Amino acid sequence: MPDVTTVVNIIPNQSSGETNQDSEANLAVNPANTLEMAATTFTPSPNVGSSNSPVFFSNDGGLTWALKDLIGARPVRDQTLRFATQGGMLYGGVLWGTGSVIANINFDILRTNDFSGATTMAVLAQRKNDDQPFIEAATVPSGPNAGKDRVYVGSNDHAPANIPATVDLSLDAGATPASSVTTQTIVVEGRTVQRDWPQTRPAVHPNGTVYALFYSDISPAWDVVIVRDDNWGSSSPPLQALIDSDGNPGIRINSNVNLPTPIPNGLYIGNQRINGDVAIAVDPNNSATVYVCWGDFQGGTYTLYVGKSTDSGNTWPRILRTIDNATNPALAVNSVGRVGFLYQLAAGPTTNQKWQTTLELTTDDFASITSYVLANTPTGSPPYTDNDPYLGDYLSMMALVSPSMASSRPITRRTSLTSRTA
Amino acid sequence: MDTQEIRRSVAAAGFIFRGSILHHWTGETPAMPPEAGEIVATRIEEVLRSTPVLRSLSGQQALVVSRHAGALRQLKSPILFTAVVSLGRQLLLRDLAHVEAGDETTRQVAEAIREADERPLRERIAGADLIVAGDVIESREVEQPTLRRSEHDPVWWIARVNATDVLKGRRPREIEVLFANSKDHVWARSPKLHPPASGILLLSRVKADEVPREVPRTAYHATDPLDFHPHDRRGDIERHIGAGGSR
Repeated sequence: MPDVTTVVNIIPNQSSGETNQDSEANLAVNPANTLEMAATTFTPSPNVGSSNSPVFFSNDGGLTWALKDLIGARPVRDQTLRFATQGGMLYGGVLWGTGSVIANINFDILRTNDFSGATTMAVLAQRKNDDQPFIEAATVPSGPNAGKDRVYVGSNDHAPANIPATVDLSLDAGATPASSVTTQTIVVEGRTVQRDWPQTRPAVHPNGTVYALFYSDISPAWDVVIVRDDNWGSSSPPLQALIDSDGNPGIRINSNVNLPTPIPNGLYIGNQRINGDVAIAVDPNNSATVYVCWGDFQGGTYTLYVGKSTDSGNTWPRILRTIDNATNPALAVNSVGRVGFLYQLAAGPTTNQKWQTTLELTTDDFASITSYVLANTPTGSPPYTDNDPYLGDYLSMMALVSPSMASSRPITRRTSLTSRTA
Repeated sequence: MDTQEIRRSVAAAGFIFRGSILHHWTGETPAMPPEAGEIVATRIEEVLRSTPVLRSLSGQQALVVSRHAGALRQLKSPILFTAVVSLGRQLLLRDLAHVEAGDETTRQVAEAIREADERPLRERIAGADLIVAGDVIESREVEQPTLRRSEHDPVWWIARVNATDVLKGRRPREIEVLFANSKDHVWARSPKLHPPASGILLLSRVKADEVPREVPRTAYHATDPLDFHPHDRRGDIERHIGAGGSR
């Protein structure tokens, strides 16, 4: 059966005249009801003077969308959403506030199952001094904790001196009332580092295996590091199941990475600022099989690399795929082991450069690839207005079984496009 | 509805329009819990206050969830103070208040909207320690440890400003202004005070906990988009200063 790819402009028709830079898209699909989807971008509230911020919501599988003020705070900065795998609760990790420095910016973990727009998301946890919260959520499928929602928010905590990669987690994020939900902040950096880079990306398998991927800045090079927990992050100590040859927690997948410096403006490609990229996906049928992607800036060229481990992150025998001049990677593995690799490629000469949002699909670790260009837009139109990020750096992708196709076809793909709409 | 109530309603509403009631609505209506109220179908005759993109909705239909639907349906030409609940295939609004659009009421609503539109600038002016008309004659980056940066850092720079006129406050010997040179979306609209920028600056003393140690405590900051205006806005700004009695 051929692949079917649907590309939708999620700006509602009634506001299609808007000219805001709606960058940094992030998409969540409800695994329990794939007709429900939620997305965030840097889009202003539909209410003038609002103290809230909006979420795009669809209840028809992404064909039509509505903008609703679900986040009870503004201005929002980084924001990601994920549904639990059962029950329909939507969780969010959101930076917001008017603080001049990151120490005064709020980092909230939120939830809601009310998509009417009548209420805003409940606050489960709040702290400050953090960057790039990136959320994943799951529901325990069986056993004594069956039905509990578990939430993992990777981030970069600026409070400690070494600005470490961090995972905030809740083992019962769906508990009621919301005020009874407890969270823990776990530093996953185990080495002496100058600092960690902003991206920490978690991945969760339904058997309780939790991974997190991040960059360590160990001068003069960066490490790409993966950590793992085998019991939903509740092991003692948590997220330290992988020990490297130096005796420290976290396997160094690559220890010779170079990244553009300084943050935030060390490198621009096609008007997009580049501060590194990491992405991770775990095979839903085998928690030992995990794919990762990272960015590396060598010899003046920024390149995405895809690697694979089949022993739960212990070894990384080879690079499967490289893409030059690309950013915003996302990975997903579907229920029959088909891998999706999404990225945005700056293609063509600088005088006529295009951002090509590309989805590659493979069943043989990229020996053969089915490739789709989902969007092909000029890197300079609309014009760059000294407003970063031009595209965003929160692209994500999920592989889910669509109810309409479940009987005839094992998967459908939902891709989050970092689209610029006007 | 008296003037104060109109002002409160304008301040609370995210979308204000003059509409008409559609008594025969056959379209789709969203399911709402009974406590939310009844749905009243309306036609937007004139958008009175909204975000820029929604100003073009005149002539469109909107569904209004109201706890006073009976009273609303009696009005011939209501002004509705609403909040946008959902902007999608349908525009779903929550009725916060409504009033018949008589001449006097319409005038009062227009005046309250004007006041609300001006409030951010008025408050910014009231909170400013110093307001000057002047020219930026120099700018330089403030030294900061690069390792601790995030993508959202303001990337502090300092501008030296030659004030040609002082509109509020006392003229200091020297005016140094901290500004955010970052291009991050949070700071993209923040004033970039590089020479030869010239205009009216609304300045506040720096907050010690938000700036690097290297920044003189005598410096001011201008970080809000409303902190820098072209010279042709001087009349407006002086009017607000005069109204506040804070010159």
